[in-house]
Amino acid sequence: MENSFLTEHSIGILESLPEGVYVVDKEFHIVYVNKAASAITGISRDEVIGKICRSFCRSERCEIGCPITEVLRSNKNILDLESTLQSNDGTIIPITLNASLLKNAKDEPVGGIISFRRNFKTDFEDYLIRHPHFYGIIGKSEPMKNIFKSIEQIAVSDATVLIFGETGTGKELIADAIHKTSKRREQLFIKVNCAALPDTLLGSELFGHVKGSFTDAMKDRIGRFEIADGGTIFLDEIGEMSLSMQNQLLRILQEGTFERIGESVTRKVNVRVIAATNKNLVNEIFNHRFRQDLYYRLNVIPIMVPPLRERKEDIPLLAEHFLKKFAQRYNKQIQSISPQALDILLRYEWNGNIRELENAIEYAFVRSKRTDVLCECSLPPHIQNLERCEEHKDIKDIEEDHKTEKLLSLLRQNNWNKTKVARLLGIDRSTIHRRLKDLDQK
Amino acid sequence: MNEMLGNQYFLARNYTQAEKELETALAHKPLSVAIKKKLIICHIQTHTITRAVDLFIDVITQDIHSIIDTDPIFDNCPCPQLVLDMENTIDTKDENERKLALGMLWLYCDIEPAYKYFLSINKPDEKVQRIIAQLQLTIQQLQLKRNV
Repeated sequence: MENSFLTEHSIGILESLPEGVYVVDKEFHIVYVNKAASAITGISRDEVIGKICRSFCRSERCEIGCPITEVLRSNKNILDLESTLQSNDGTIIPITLNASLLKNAKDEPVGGIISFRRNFKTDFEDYLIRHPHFYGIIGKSEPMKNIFKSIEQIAVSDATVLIFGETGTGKELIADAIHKTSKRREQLFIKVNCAALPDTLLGSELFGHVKGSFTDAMKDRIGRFEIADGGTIFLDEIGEMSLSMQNQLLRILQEGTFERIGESVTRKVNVRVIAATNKNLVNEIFNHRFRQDLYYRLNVIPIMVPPLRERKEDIPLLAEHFLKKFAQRYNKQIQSISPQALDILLRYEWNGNIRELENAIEYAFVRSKRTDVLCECSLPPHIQNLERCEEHKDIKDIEEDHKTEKLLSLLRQNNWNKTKVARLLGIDRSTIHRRLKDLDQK
Repeated sequence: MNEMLGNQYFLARNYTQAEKELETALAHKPLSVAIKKKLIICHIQTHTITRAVDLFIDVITQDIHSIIDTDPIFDNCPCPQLVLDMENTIDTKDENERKLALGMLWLYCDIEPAYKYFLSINKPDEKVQRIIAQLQLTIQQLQLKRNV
């Protein structure tokens, strides 16, 4: 047939399979497509033989991790990987695929083979394929799909949810989705950041107070739990709550009762609690900073939000989302990210997670001189550095890079407040302006 | 693994990684024109122009048509886009280096502009003169073929 490494006999076998099969050579040109693959995709073999493989599969994997490349990198075959292909008319086809290499007598790879079967998914999974956004949460990766499924499953329940995840992973959006899918969705959803307020104020914020109960209590004030009655309250950074506040929260979780500060009247509310933390609460219990009984009360339904580095396949979707967002905000027409820039984004570790990605895209968006595409040169230097690490640099360049890196890091941490950063570094504000200007010119 | 992995990086326009893998592959197959063709582009993109020129001379001496006959679609060649970007970008690189890069990249698309870029190089060294001579010869051969 069209290739030298498939014999007539093996082609006969491949043609009889119900699974779709296609074979590429070492240049990733398609050399063979079986009958089933053609039937599943609706693309005739003559259209694709000899072309680059992505012209046939047009899969999400082409951008985020070609299965054959993964086999090349890991030297392990891929089995039962969920992915998608596109049919002739652009319809997304969910598939499960296997990938392996074809090798010559010297054990050198001379091509790759992919077999796939169509997945007939549930309505919910179909929804996820068609909609990368789930109540504002962006992600099509397996861990995110599992979270979406969990949210759907607990929609009928009023149970307390505890969301774990590093900072910037989108815990608040998960809480929001839990509320929006619950039977309380028509009621209020109140958010409280437990780390933002000192203990006394947090007590007043959560439970309310009566006039005169403390110095600044000029009038009666209703607390967040009362406001949220019938709805949901989201307690972010629960791990930062003091032990005395934890006692009061435990009581409200157990009995649904509380008293406003300075009042002896016991009030009862019906509030669903969703809490979130970036801390390891088990360690906090071990160190006597978190009550064990409260932990068990909160941890009825735990949800672990993976860090972005563990769901890198979502980066293209997230990047595209932020691109649209900033295109509107800055009134620019940049509509895509160059493959090189995307590659850098995919290889970066993102310790600050989605928030860091968002900031990086915004930075690139503001700095981009091109009006059509976001290219790698406009990405923040500390992300680009990953690319340049193999370049030869003299000690002066390295020192300069280090200084710039430190400056940008401080600026990011301090919300680009140059005055504050100048104070922290003990330099004049104009020096920062000058360095940023130099950087911009580079 | 290296050649196929290098090819994939090249397809993904990840020139740094492609260069690394393809250089290793070339060490095992020093005569492979397919590898050298990609490496020339990688080295231009990673600004290791001397290595690109050496490989370029190798290929055009060995089989210049392997570059001239590049099919931008079948070979998924990035050169048309790279040329467009490079010609429309103000570059701080050395002007001769820029002309060298453009001359090499143009040969994947069209020999005439490639030749013009090499001719425009100020004080061409021995390597550039060899390239110019080779291109001149090929242009003459192509013209003869057309006339026949």
